[in-house]
Amino acid sequence: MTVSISSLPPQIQQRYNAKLLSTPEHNLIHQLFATPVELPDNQGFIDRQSRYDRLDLFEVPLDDGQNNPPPQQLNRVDVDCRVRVYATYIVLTRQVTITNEDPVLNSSVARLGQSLRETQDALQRDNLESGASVINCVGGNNGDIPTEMAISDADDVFTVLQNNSGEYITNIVEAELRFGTSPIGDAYGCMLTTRMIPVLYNMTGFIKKFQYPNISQTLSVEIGGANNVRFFASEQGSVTPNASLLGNDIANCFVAAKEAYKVVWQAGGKARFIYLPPGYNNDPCMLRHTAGCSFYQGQCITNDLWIQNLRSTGI
Amino acid sequence: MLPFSFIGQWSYTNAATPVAQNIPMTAKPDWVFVKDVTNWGAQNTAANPIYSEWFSANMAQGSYLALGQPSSTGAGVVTYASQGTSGGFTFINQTNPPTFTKVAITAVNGTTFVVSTGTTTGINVGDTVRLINVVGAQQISGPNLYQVTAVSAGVSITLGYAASAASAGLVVANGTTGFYQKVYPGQFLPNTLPVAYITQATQAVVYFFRQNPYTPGELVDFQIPTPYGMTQLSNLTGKSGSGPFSSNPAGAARVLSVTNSATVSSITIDVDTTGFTAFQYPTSAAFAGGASPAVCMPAGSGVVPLNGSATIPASPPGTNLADAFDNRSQYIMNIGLNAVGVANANMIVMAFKADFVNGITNA
Repeated sequence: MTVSISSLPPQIQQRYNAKLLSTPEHNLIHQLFATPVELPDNQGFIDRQSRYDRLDLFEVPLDDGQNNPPPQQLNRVDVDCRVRVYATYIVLTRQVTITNEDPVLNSSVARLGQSLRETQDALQRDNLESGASVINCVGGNNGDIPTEMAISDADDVFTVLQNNSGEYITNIVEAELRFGTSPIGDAYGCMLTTRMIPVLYNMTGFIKKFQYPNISQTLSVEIGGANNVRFFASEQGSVTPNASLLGNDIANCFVAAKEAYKVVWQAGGKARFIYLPPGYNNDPCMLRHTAGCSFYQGQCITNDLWIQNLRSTGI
Repeated sequence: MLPFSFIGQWSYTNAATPVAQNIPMTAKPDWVFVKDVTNWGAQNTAANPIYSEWFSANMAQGSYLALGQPSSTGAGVVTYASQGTSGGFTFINQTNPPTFTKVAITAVNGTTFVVSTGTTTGINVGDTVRLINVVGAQQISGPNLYQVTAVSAGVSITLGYAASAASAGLVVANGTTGFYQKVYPGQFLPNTLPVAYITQATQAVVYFFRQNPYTPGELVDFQIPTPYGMTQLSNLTGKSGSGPFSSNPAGAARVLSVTNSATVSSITIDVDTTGFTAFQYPTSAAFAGGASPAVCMPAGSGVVPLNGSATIPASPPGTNLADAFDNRSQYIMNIGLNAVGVANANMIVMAFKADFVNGITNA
């Protein structure tokens, strides 16, 4: 009998390479500008924070009789945020873990961790999508409502946040004597889908990150900036399908000032990995492992004036 | 560990005209059944279905298996089996809901908000839809979600909340062709809602296109673009305040009372809008020329007013916890009209999930 490569059994032809391939992981952007708050244990599940309203100006001078002016009343606004519990798990039979060459449980830990962080990020995304004020892009020319984002739209949302006394997220990136670079002003942070990249790159006045005079104060998820808005993109950025006037997808681009929204974690409920070996959970014959993760999180908008959903099409 | 874990048991009683039921569940079921405990085996009582079920393994969303019983006499009752692909069981993960194709419409009445369409399949009272590119009424097209309050099969759907706003003062021209699309709204509450209409009154009434999540004592704010008129109501949070029950604008508006009836969704707020510019929707052409929506946003929690009073707080002071920002998403099993059971029947629902799975599969 002639032995050739083609007649070798499959097990001989194949070698299992133990070096795993990378798993795609989403950029986590929606917590970037959230104010983190810790809810101590044993103190309920709703975190309340308060803000005192501005007082009126008092421009009328006292009269010569030096009588006391009318008093003002101090007003407080409370903002409540409920913390919820999130958990997931996988079940692996012992048969899998003792027959696989690949350490499956190790991979399960990594994937659970990724799922947990992406879930935390998506929760904040959904919170912003649900509760933020809305501005449609109108500066583009694609004939839809909203239009694709234009520099005038970035300036509009900047103006709204300035009118609302929103504080900047980042400081100016000053000009330097480097060819092909441009300065970036004090800026608010914009969180959006990576599907917006072509729109941004086509936008007059958009400065790509590599055109910043200095990139030492940037993140890998940053795409670039336009006047006073810097853009951070994620594959799981917010998109509302078919929601434009003409039925096209809308990108919800959240532009945040400082302290516009927050994330609340319970002190005793931070991200946790839970492994149970065979024998737990009504498993008398010790046949199954479980690997799970859980976390406690709440998210809310703390000032409706400081977070704007700038809607754009063109994606 | 058993092949199936019990998720839970629920019950409901059908109305004289049964409607689809939404059953909240803690997990995605792999087997659900619904049983009629009123008519099961009752002689002289024809009922279809008296039992229906769904398996995740090989049944599509919306499908069902069912048993019915004819009217009979003598010992025992013979059942007959049926199955279908719509009006059955639809599992909905509210954070990642199913999507639906858009459906052509031929007219939208700007007063009654009856939307004429030849296809109403899968649309039930309570569903939310969006309108897309309605010719002549583009200002109501786009992201706004409207709640369906009546369905005339194969003829029309009625957006009754919008019609109530029209009765209050919303003016929208009749539209012609376009599309509607069924949408499941998010459940992160309280949420931002497009405003349908705002009255000019000492206590303004704000109307919405679908049921609203707001509660008495809650603070809300507005962003009213110039084409809508009443811009004085915009960004109240940033305006100086002088007390929770004093003249406004003084910080965000307080919700005094809430209406969420079968066709009216509105809140009454403690803002005197009599001197404000009238609220009006832009014309279709003006909207198409570029406009942002007028929206109401949750802005905080405040002192609960006494029975809708604009000046007297509840005593002892009420603390509103229902307005906390919260993720109220659930897993829902929607039981459609072909599986929900017959009129006035008491129904039992049981759901199970398969645990006998490995967490690893090959692509």
